[in-house]
Amino acid sequence: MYRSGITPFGSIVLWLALFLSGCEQQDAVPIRLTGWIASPIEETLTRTFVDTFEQRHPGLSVRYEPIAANYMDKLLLMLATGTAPDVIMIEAFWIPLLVEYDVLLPLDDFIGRDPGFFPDDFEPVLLDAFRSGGALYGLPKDHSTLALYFNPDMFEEAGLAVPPRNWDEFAEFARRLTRDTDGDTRIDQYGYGHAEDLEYSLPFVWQNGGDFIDGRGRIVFAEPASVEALNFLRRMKTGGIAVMPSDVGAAWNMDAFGRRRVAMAISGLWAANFLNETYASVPYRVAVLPVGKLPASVAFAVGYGIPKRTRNPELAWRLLRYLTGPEGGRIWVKSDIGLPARRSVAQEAAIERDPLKRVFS
Amino acid sequence: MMKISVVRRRVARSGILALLLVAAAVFTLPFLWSLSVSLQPPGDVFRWPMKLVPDPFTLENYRRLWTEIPFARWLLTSAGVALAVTSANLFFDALAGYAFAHLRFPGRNVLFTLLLATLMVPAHVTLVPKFMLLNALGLVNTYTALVAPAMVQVVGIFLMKQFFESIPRQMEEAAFIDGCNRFQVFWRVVLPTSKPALAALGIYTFQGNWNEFLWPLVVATTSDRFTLPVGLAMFRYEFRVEWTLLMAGAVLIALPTLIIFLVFQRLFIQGIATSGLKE
Amino acid sequence: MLSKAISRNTGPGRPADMPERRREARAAYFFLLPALIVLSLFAFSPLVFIFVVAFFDWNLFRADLHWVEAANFVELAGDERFLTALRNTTVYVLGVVPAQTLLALLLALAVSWNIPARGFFRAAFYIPAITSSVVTSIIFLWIYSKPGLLNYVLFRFGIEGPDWIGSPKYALGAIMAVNVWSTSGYFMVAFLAGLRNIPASLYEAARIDGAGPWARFQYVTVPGLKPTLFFVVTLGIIGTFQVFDQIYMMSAGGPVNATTTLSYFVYNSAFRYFRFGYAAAAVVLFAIILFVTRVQRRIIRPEAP
Repeated sequence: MYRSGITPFGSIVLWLALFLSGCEQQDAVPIRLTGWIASPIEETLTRTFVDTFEQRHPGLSVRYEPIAANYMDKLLLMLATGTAPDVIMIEAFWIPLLVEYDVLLPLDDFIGRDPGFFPDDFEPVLLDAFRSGGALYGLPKDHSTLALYFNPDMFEEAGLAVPPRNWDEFAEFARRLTRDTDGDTRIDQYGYGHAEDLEYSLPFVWQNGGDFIDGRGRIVFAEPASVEALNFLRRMKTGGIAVMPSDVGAAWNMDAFGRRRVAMAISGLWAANFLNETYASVPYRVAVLPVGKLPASVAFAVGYGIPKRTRNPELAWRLLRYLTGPEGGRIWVKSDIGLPARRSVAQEAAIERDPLKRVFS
Repeated sequence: MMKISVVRRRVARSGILALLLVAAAVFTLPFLWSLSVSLQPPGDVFRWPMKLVPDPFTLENYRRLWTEIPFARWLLTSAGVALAVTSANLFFDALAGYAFAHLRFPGRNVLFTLLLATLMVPAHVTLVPKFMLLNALGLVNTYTALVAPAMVQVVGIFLMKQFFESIPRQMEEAAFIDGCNRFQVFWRVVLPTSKPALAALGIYTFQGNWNEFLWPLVVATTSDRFTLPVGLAMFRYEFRVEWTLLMAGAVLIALPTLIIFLVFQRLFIQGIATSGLKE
Repeated sequence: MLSKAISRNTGPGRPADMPERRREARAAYFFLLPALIVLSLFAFSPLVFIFVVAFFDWNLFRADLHWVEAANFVELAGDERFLTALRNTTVYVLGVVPAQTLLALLLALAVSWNIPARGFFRAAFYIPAITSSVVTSIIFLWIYSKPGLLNYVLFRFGIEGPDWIGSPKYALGAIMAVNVWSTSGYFMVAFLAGLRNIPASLYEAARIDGAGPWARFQYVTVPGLKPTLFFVVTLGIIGTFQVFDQIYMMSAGGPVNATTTLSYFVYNSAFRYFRFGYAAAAVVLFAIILFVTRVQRRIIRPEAP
């Protein structure tokens, strides 16, 4: 549609454009890669990655074009105009949407004729997260589930030795951890800091047998099981034993944890890195989430896909298979925000013996 | 009588001065805070009570900005783009503003209303057709894409029109009689008397373009085409923001606009001294 | 409002003979040419584009477009969030524009006074305009937070303050205050330039006629500032209609849509719910509402400027 909107003006300036842009030099076409920048380490890893890829593939070059802010806005605009890079970083959550808009290339054919790729090596749940209608639209790079961070010093002061195992203990511990620590009669340490975003209420809803999202990908709140779970959280908040980050002047829930304003908070592996660097003096431990009617947590999976309108799908696949393949996948082991998506890589890195990382797998 | 009024005036003056000082503090505090944070080592910068004197003091953030990212390159891009845009606007906006203010032509009112109408559309909406147009022209990720859409601004035309309307026409008439054509009148008579308005336009355009974030973010895809605000956003990682670096960047971004303001604002002073506002 | 400002300057003094008129029009188009070329590409064509897209069910992607006639508009009329956005935008404009204009004028007058360190004050008042919106948002979020500076001050007076941005009752007002703070110094610049444009002779004449400071302000400064005032108010209205950054960074439209303004609604519709046609329709509908209210006002009060 937009074409008819601009054609009258477009034709006027088309020859002008030839003057302005006609002098671009034509090198060997680089494979373009984009992603958001999750952490400094991630950025370094990506650049290492590009370097090793170019070393292993003489004649191929990669142009890394990170997007610093408004990632989805810019990505969608580029996808819509066919200017998106050849390999794009995506979250598994976006797959239904991107598939509906028909902008991603199915990868099954590529995998089918690539015997060295070993797709069975991926965690099956992670691969499923990038699947839609039987076709695979992305490959995972790393993942992390949500777990419970708690402050062991605060637990000790409250006479608690172990993290809460179920909802009752969770609420009871939060009550005992809510205290006035400096004796001015105002509460300055709360039991639990709850993040505003929907994803952080989701584990509670799932653990209660409910859901937020119906078959058509729409958000529904009316289910009794969901309402019950949300009410549990609301009671903690109105009871004064749980707070939102803004209640205590924090930017997000782990920021509140770092400022010692809350004793427990839920987050992914990325928060450990944040605490280490920003609040090095604050002790923390990590445990699996307290269990409701059933155990459940939310997995955040990040991976790469190929836009449908890419000019060179074969080259894009070569980059993508290296990014997520058995060899390149190893680079992500050093990531500070996610666990490797490949089981062989995770085994090699002995994730299950890492006291911190294994909680998030 | 005289004495009382002198005393009253003095009291009033010191009252106003005190008020202005308080206001100045309120207006500058956030900037001073970011300056202070930029001189601190990384850590919890949001502690309470707020510290305005950095302790310990360090220039490390500025050093890192200079060495870890292509700061000079982005600065150059930003400066080049902003200067090109500002000079284009000073000339083209003044030309168009003059036409709207002093010349009669068919379609003037309709055209001007249309201009104002374009201002009502939120930037996020125009982003899409603008990007599509530049893409159709093959100009995505070029300097042209950074400069061309901002070369003329409706706000600038509007500003110049408003000022030209308050300029008496007698001077122009005299110039016509001397045999100048319209462009010569505009160039030799009207523009030299419009320095304050041009100063305001220069300040507004430079600042607006210098701080522009959304457009360069979308239209520049490789880091050699980034402007400073886009480049510095790289320090806002998804899960961790390097506040001290970000603040050092914010301070450095603000400095050129402050300098431009200080340079141009001298053009306001002269006039006011003779305007009779002073007591 | 517009036509009046223009018609005043078609003034007398030039013969209305045809060749002269034609020459003048030709000169005008020549003067306008560069501006029209650039604006056609980057201002008018997006306008046309938006107007057309408003009648389609378009999301940036779908190749097969659906002409939906006025369905977008009908849906908007019943969309609770759009109506809330309209209401919030109205409150925002009516609250911020007079306050920022008045404050900008006061600041401009104050720093034009013969006070010491005028240059310093001028720069100081301009500083919010150059402080990055990220910094501004962070600081004010902190000032407004439950344990923040504002509540600390209120506590001293025995008042228990709320979480300002977290409360649907106060959030919009709190962000409006930030807006007034950050733009009044910006518009001060326009007033400074406007003050400079008032001929000194007018003040002299008024002084000779025995006018005091207040009378001089009333009869010389205010009329002389009218074009500037028109500019500042118009730009203020446009700026507040378009307010986005602060809302995006401080409250994200919440709590419960208390700070969802029109531009935020449009952004959400286009880039969060991927309904570009719907977003475009919201812009068009809003423009229509604006136009109708203006025409209405003119019918009721034909003399209104």
